[in-house]
Amino acid sequence: MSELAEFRVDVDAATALVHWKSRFADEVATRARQLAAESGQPNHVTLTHYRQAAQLAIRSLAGAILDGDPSSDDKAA
Amino acid sequence: VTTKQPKSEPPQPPEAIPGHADDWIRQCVKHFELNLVDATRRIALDAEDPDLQMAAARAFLVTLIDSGLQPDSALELLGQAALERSSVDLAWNDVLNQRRFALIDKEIQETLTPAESTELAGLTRIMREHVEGETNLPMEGAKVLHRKLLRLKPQGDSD
Repeated sequence: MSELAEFRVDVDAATALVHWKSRFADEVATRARQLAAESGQPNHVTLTHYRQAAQLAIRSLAGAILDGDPSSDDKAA
Repeated sequence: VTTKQPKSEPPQPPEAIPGHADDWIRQCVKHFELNLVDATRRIALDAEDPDLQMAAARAFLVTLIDSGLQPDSALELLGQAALERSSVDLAWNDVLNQRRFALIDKEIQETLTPAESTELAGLTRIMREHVEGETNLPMEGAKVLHRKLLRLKPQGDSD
């Protein structure tokens, strides 16, 4: 057995990370579109919009992770 | 004498992608990652790169099928992508046609390798696109005939 084999990650943990990343990406995209619309260019989302949206999304993601889904097993553990 | 000052090029806007493509990318990445986790749960704990590459290939194929493609169409897409990387001229021609026939012969003889199977799927897709393409419809003869008919003077109106 190699050293690598001694390190393992639960499937539900790996799956939760995929969902968090996806949720973060969706939230950034949605908020960036809102920011673009508010700035008067609803059809053009820029890096600046994404950067601002990412900062907002990080905060809401932190709340979502603490709320549990989709890794609520961690709370029970 | 005034010398012309070189005009400075206007700043190019950054490259952009369509909004729906941005949505599609996120969905594709999410499903690919979930499928990859699923494919990876079945491999040995001491799996090495080739095992993980195989899992990635399986996961991507499932992701394409999840996106609405039939399995055969997904394989054809992968085959076409592989051919595009091989710097072959992908405009349908006699060389590609001959190659497709050769691969079909091997398929019948059951000597087709997995790589050749992917190549055959890609060639089939390119051929189908060529055959179904509007530019390949036999319209030129019809257009010539149409022009001739337009030039004809009406005759025998009184008949």
